[in-house]
Amino acid sequence: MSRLLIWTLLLLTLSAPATGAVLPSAEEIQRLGARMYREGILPDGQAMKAFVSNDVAVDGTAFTCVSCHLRSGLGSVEGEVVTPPTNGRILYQERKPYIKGKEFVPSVANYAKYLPVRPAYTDETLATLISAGVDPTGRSVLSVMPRYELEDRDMAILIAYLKTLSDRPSPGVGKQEIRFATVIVEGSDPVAVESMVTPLQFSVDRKNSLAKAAGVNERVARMGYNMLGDLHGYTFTLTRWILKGDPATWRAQLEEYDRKEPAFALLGGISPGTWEPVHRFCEERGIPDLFPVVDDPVLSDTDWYTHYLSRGVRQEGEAAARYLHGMVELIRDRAIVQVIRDGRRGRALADGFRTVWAETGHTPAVDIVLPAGEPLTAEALRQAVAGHKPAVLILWDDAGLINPLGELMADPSRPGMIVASATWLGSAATTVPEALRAPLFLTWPYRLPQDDKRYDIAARKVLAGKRPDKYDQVILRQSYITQDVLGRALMMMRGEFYRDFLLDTIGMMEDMYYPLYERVSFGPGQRYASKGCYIVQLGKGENPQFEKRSEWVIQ
Amino acid sequence: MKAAVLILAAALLGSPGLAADKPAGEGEIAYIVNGYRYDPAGSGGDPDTGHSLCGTRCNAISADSVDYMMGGGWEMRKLAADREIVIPLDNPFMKGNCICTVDEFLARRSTRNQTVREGQ
Repeated sequence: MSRLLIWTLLLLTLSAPATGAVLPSAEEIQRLGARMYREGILPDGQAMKAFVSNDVAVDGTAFTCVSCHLRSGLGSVEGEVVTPPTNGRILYQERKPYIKGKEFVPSVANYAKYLPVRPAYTDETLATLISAGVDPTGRSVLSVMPRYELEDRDMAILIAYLKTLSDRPSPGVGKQEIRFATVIVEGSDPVAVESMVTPLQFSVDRKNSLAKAAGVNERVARMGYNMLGDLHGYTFTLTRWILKGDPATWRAQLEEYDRKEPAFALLGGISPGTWEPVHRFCEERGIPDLFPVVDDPVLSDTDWYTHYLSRGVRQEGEAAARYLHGMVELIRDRAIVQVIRDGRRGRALADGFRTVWAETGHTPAVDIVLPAGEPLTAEALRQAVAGHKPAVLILWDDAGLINPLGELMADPSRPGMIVASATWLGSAATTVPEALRAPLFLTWPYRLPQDDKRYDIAARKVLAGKRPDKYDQVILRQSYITQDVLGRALMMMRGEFYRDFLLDTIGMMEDMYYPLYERVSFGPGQRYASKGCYIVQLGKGENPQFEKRSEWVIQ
Repeated sequence: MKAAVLILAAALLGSPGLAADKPAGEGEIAYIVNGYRYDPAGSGGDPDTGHSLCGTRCNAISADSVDYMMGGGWEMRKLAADREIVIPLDNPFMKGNCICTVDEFLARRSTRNQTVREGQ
């Protein structure tokens, strides 16, 4: 927590709240206030008492402040339902039917006119609103907001906490500049790095061109202002934070970058291996990290600051389990065998399958682990089949599985269905012999390539005339999504450039149709944007296409 | 892994004969599925299981019209409504066919409102 914030909170503490209660320390206000605001839990550990429709008692943990006013306290917009900000900076100002200085920005003006005018709150009137559901104009808000029964001290803590929400600009935001950074782990493939950075840099350059043009041309300035409000005059910077050496040393490197050139948010980022230290750093420092290009994202239901494009390769294993669940009547009591290449990728795929298969109530699959580096042989497959007589054989391995599998096809007792990962087979997937294609089902976590070509036009815009074949098409598309989501979110933020509000705003965005993924969806607290995967088979002929055998299987 | 995906995507995107590679105007057929049913076709397959599997199988051939529009520069023209098409169930454990009721469209690249020239 910044020293200034602690001093502010200390002053608030000493200046005795309206309730007359003695407040705890600034750190305690943050901890206890956040718990009340986000979880509906009182400082004594009990659930807050809430009442809806005036007198219907409900559990405060089910009606938390954060669920409507969001983590930043800057409120939410869902369709035509607008929940106003609840942070002290805005509450303690009079509300008019416009936001001063943004009267002619259509998106802001439309937002402001939805909210009723009111005088500025005081500690007393805010306590009345929270406890009785009556605002300073005497209007009841109980039809849209619960009232909360709080002791004086708890009320004082909550109010003091609201005063700290989104109360000063986030690091990386200047008067006319927003700084971004992208983390590049040394050892990443240079083509992959450029494919990740190029769309981001395009977006930054485009924005800066507008800011520059607006500075010298009044007509452009008017147009930019009408579209973007204050944002039109901001310039963006994108710096590269290069991480070197052992991941255990990354934390210190990140802290040094953050100290020297703090960024409002990290965009993209790439690592050939783990992302965990960056994820943890962002989580602890409260820095948004949008869509790093990693195979193995950190999986968490509660972490908040890193948005991933998907759950990584694990999602393929999960999709395979859901697909087989749909035909479980046909498999009956026969075994499923997972042959797993030892290593992070194989384990993630197998664990994804194992978890969903167990969740759907089935007998666990038989796991056979192949040591890293040991080639898969037809004999090993024959033994697995002879020993377990599986209905389905799942092979989580690379293209080395094709030849031994081909030999297994001659075996009359071979399983009826074989599942593998198309992303792990790589280009070899198109070389699978025809005899193997009928029983072979593949997981594919992207839109089918022949369909995704329709998005070439969109994806190529960020190349600004550069040759597409010089780039990794998957990463280019992933980074296209990053820059587009960022741009949309910044436009929706009404000039309130707070880190938490950036993530709140992305959480309010509609599902999007983007290159690469069949559907990209957001939502409050959702941190894995693409949730689906196809099960495909190879078509006929020399250059087979993928053919869908499932819908976009959603987790 | 990224390299493998890149190579695969490049291989598949570059495959000859892809519908999207056809010259503008020729287009590709797209279906939007409205209904489905299972036909055991003499295989003795269980009708309930077959119906369920055909749900997945028919939905798999269904296009999302927004998916065509959002890519930019594509348009869809309706050719037929409620047409029945028969596709094999393609399940290793059960034979039979799926009869998918579809609206049929011709999807093709539009030459109107083209903002990006070919090759860019």
